[in-house]
Amino acid sequence: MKPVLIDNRSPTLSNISDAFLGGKYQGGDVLVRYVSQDGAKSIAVASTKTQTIREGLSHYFDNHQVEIAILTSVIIWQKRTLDFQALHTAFLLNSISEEDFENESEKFIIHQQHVEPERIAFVIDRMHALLGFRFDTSDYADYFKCTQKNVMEGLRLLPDKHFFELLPSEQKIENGLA
Amino acid sequence: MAKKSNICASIEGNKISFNTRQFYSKPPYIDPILGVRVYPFKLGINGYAEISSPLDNEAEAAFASSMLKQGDCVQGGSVDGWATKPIKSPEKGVATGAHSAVFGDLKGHAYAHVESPHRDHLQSPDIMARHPEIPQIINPIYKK
Repeated sequence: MKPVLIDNRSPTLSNISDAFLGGKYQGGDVLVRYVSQDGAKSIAVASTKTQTIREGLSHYFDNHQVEIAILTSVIIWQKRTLDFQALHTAFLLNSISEEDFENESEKFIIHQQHVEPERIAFVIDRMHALLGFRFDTSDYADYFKCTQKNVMEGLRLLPDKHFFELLPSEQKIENGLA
Repeated sequence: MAKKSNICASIEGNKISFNTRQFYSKPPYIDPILGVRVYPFKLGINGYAEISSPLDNEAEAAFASSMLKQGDCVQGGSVDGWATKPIKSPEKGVATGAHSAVFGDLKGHAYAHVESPHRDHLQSPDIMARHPEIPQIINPIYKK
């Protein structure tokens, strides 16, 4: 059998995936690992299906894509907040009139929409795992561009007590927000 | 005159006075109930808000459970809300012996809502267990 040369001299995650691990997988498509623990005296050999490795890498890659998307969205959200606060500060310092402030605020206005509670729970959970701290419900409402009631629907799906603390007790639910 | 500090307690009025040690303004949005632009805010580290002037018409309240009488107040580790008019500059003033605070007013139709209870309450598992909803220290200003 003539071996096929795969050019993988400068491996990165993408060319490992696309070149080295590309194509269809036959039954005998395996990756073999040689481990020498004491020089040349002995060599341990292990093998696993290439498809298993490929699926693991794809899962790892997909997870990171989700995390990068969440972190990017947080940065964009915070930049928007900073930009608005700079405008508000200019108003507070009397650099601009109330009328100018209201006009300039137009571009920051959002229209709230309903967001699926499952999505809210998923994003908040991942955001907390990545950042290591939580926001208040009004912050999450600003991030998701939805109501606090909507945020609470999502928080109720999370088992972590830190999120439970953000919810009112059941007997206080008469408030329109709960 | 009602005083509340449980999560989701709220007040609405034509003018609401507040004090806090952390003031945040947030980008405006169109309130889905009122259908007008509102300017949201958040008071961090033990915010306190009190109705200085009630709504002209109580039927205009956005939330059925909001307290609406002059002097009604809420307090929380974090208090959020909105005002239909731009929020003007809060002023620094003397609060407790240890801290200063900022004092300000919300005008137009204004709303303040407790989103987390008093910080000390949250930090005490024992208090939380015995009084899950009612940390009564209603502000001005920590009863000097």
